[in-house]
Amino acid sequence: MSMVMQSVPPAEAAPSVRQRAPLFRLHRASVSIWCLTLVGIGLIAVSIPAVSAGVSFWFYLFQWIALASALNLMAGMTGYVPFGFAAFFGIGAYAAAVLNQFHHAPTWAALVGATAAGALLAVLFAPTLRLRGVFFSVVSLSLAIVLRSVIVLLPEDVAGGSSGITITGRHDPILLYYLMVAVSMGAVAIATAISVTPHGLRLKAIGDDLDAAQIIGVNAKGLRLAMWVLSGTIAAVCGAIEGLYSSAIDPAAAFNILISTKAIIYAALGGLGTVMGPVVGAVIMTITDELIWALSHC
Amino acid sequence: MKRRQFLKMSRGIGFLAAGAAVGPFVAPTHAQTSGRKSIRIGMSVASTGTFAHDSQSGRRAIDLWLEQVNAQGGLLHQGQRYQVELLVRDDRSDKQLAPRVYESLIFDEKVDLVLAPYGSTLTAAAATITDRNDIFMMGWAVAADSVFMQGYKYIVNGGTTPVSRVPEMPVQALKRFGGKVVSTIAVDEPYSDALAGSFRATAEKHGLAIGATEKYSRGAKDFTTILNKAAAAKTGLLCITSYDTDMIVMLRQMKENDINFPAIFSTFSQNSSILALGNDAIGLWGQSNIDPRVAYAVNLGPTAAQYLDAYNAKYPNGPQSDINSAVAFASLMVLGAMIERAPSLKARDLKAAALDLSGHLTVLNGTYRIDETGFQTGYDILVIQNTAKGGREVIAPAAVATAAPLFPMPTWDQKAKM
Repeated sequence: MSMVMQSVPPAEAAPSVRQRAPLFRLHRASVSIWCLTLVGIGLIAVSIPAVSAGVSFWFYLFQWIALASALNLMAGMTGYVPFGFAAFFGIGAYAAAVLNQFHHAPTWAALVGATAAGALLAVLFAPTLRLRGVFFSVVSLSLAIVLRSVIVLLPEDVAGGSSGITITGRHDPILLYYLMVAVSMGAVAIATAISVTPHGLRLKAIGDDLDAAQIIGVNAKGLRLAMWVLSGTIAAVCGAIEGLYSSAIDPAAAFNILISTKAIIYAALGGLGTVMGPVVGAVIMTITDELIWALSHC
Repeated sequence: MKRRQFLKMSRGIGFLAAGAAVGPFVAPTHAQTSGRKSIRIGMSVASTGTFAHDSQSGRRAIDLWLEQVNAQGGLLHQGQRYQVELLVRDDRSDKQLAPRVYESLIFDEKVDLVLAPYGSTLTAAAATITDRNDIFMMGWAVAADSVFMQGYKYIVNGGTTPVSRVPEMPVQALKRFGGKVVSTIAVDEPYSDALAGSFRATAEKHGLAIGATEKYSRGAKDFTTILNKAAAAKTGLLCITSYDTDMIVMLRQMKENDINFPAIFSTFSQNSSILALGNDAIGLWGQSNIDPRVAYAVNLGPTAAQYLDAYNAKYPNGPQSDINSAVAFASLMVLGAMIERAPSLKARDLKAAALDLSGHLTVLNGTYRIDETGFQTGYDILVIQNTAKGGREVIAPAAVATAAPLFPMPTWDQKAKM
């Protein structure tokens, strides 16, 4: 450590003025450009039901944008890759289904319940943040598997058991599509807001070197927890909306490991730690998947 | 992130978003000609995933039906014969892909009606699309009762015995043979758990007692404790609703510990993996939906024996027809009759025809009968018992039984001497 400190020239050790100026220029430019981009995507998204007979492709495209962006808040910004990310999606789907089907809660109440369930689960899983690297990833995956088993073993009239839950109430798919668009745009907006404030730099510092970040005064625990809760809550809301959209929830689909791996791959493809990376990755991969699927039956 | 990188990526995302918006609209679509030339039926089959094997089993029988119908000149609809076209998409056993598949079939391929995917979860996901777009869906492998409680107007189960009705024949048989207690062992997966629950509900309905109700996680290997609990409950019929591999382990542990039951039921009792156990498989109860020796008073299509001959002729090198092939074929037979009866291929006319024909059609696996929701109330299963030297006998329903049951089934000592 002392050797490293000795090798760093004093002029480079504290370039605060030179670094802060570009940061704020980036802030102003990015906000205007990015807001225009978001408005453009939003306009396209809003017009789709009017011009397209089916919305399923678009629904799932925006779902993956939201999930990849949510995962990026944790994996990209702090360097913690949660392979058990599917647990949040699953708990959201189950919370909405249980509230709507078994307790006859209206759609909005089911979504609020799912949001709360996602946040609560993130807080319950928070002690895993003491782990680092692959240990955190593996433990988070294990917790997702345990959570799935717990739900399966609950009585059928509580959570549907192994058979899952079929939601017998009808939900407007167009409304759910718009909700998914709103969640995905919200996730991107949150990532943008974080990245252009000093919190973004602090999170990057945590991702680059946790110990060094703590030494310079970054509240690593608090920021990590905030990202973890935010990330998990967005995933839970996605799970809730998807559950209501498809109306069929079972443990295998709700806690599918593919939800974690796809979100990680999509975010990584576009660029972990960037605001637009997960969006680009999700769009490219969803369209590629669509093309492969379409070509398979040509 | 550098400013230049940020600007370049912003521009990139704009192009990508535009591409994504245009992509699905520029996909080729089939314009519907004003005069009908064929009847277009859409369906999804899983090329990969959990349902791949079972959905492809059904697909083979559907292809057989298609070949037979078109060889006869097609289906007679509105006084004219039309060839039937089957348009197939891959659903990858993915619940999230199923809605997209059925949207593609409806909007791009302009199908007249659809067959459901394999399994209740995918069917429920697809039905949200078909029902909203007023397209009739014929379910052929939709066992869950809950799908028919959703208020869908245009879905009918044309071939499968619902999971709630599978236990009816085995439980009735147990009661007839003098058994009094039913126990269940299930793995924590949807069909297994639902079937075990149905066994308990049916047993209670018939006034039988419930013994042990055990559930285990996939991967468990030691079943001694739960088997002993079932034996201690004086079980008359032990229902094992999990995988054949787990059942083999359970049978081995029953034999090692000399645990005997008067009757053991499993969906897999007639699987080759179980029959390979030789004498250890004697006496087990299993289920089937067809048997060449059981000839219902069929008034539509081939008998079970005739169907099996036709299937084996088309697929001489296997795979053999299984439970999914038979229900798929039965569903298509019924669907053909609906199309011929309906005044149009509109969903409401097909549903009306489906209800009109309920109780009037007997096909290879029994009598087709539905209620207003499309839920299947016909098609009793056959209870098959393994006998010595690899034989099998139908022991229920009593009306079509081919032999008296071995009840109680031979003990392990007795099997060793057979």
